[in-house]
Amino acid sequence: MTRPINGLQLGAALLLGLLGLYIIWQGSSYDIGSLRRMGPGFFPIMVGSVLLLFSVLLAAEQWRTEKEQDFWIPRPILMISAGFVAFAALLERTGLVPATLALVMLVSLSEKPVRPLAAIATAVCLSVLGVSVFIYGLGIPVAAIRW
Amino acid sequence: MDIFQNLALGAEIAFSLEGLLFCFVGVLVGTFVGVLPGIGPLAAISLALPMTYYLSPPVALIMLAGIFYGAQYGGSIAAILLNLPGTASAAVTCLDGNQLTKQGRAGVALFTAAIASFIGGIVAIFMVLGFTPVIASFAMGFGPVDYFSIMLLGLVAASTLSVGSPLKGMAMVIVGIALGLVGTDETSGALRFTFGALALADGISLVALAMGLFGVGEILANLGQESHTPPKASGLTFKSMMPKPAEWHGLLKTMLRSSGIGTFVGALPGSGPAIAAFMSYAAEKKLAKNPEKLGQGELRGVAAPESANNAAVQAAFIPTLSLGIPGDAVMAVLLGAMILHGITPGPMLITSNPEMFWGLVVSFGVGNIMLLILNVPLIRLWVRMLSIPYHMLYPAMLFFICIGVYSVRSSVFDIYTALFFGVIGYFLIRLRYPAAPLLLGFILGPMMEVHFRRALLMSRGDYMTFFESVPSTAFLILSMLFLLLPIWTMLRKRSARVRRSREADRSF
Repeated sequence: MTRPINGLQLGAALLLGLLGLYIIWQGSSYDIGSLRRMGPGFFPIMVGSVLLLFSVLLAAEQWRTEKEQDFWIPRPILMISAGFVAFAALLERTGLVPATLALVMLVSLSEKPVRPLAAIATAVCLSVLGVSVFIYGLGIPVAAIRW
Repeated sequence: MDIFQNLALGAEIAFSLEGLLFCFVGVLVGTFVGVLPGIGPLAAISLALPMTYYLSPPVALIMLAGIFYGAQYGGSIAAILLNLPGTASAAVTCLDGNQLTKQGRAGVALFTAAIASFIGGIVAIFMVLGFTPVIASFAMGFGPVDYFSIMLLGLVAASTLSVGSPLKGMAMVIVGIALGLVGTDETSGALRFTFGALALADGISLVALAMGLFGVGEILANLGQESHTPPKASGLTFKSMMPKPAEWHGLLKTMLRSSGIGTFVGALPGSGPAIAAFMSYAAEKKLAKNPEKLGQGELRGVAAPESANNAAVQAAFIPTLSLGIPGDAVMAVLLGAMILHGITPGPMLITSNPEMFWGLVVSFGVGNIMLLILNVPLIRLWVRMLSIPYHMLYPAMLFFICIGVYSVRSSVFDIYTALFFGVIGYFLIRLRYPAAPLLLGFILGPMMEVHFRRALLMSRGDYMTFFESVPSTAFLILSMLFLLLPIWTMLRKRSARVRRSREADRSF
């Protein structure tokens, strides 16, 4: 009974292995010390090595796994990323309200069909809520709107 | 110390205006996220974490705990009405609960679920009261060696007992420990894995990590999936919710038995409410006179998992508060919240912060009564919640994630961190890598490193020190057993398969 290689699972195992190697490599640039008096590098090297071991085991395990469905969803990932980046970029420059509007409008594009009216309504409600709860209520140091 | 004196101290906190208010907020939010499929208690607690900066630590903990057990009440509603578990721990409730709905008896099922949850909660409170101080005083003598070993046990148990591949669970624990390395080394003060970013000198933000993995990641996984049709609330009258007198027979016994199972399972490190619900259902099936009836709409099939999951949630506080060892990811976040508030979890907690422990325990009682009121007379309100469209809900959740992450330390960098872990969290869900062990590793990792280094410093570099203390040796042996268990079951399955295929060959 031979099953085809599960590419995604193998890729994930390889990525974990690379992460392990990176941790070992970066960890060895810190002071390792001795068993008696460990430096900051000792524990990371240990952790990286165990991770490397598990990535090998996982690479062996991938033959037993079933295929994933709906793995790539570029649209939601892209739109949510765009929304977060816009929020982060606008928050301290132009204030909470423009940042909220940009965030909600952008993330609302992740699903088809796009519902512009619902998105605008949600954005306005959240702006009001955000200003009253977070700026007036909790006093976070951000302006509502900065010109 | 007098237990009544302590309870009075706890009541002072739990019945203060602030305590009552935030207990109510907690159980309300908990029921809300429990009702809605697609948002779990972990996401909700991560979302609420920034708010706790404005509260005193005991009140903050009361609110966060309320979200956790409130979600167990709410989780059954979607399970019964829609056959969709609102939280993972309500998956078993779907079996009989939804059958009852199809028979037009949704009201009875909802009522039974609420009562069962309540009884589970009450039983667990007494267990928490009885066992936590005892375990804590036992653990007073623990040294660094014992701490390292028990944390290892917790991590191993959490990753191997979770659903799915134990290898993936272990790998995620290690990734979590690795993420915990980022920042300033506690012992030497050296900066590690910061990529030259000043924002990472204090480490990765727990709130950003948790909200990314469990908030953004879950939302991404839910987008593009089919939506459900909202159920109708009109038929739910109080009268229709009452079980017939004959049906009460044996139900209370089931609830008490399941509460016991739930408490025991919940108190073990690594096993959460979902496993407790599953085990109590299995026990009910073994004990039933006519086991084939379970699954076709038996009230017992609703009562057992609901008592067990709520009991397990409250019992999970036993190891967290007595040893400082969280049993699952939600407890890890609560523990993280305590650390953020400057409270050192561990056996000293009950004596050094008595108001914290006793206040929390009393609030469990208050919260469970509030939940009973919220879930029986006000049930129709929650059923209506199920008709909130997801396309309005998820932008709101993303907004709360963004502003919540930012508000913790006014850091724009943390918003990007949450996004980064959100995308990773999505891929982890799709690849069936459990994210909860990662969070557990992230929180326990730094503590483990400190104890590990301290232990070897004290033993002058001799590894055998871990086997020189009795508790430590016991924890290490248990960890080994947990590691070997999945290998053993795998081998047994394989040999069974080989045998079966041989028999099949022979029959030809």
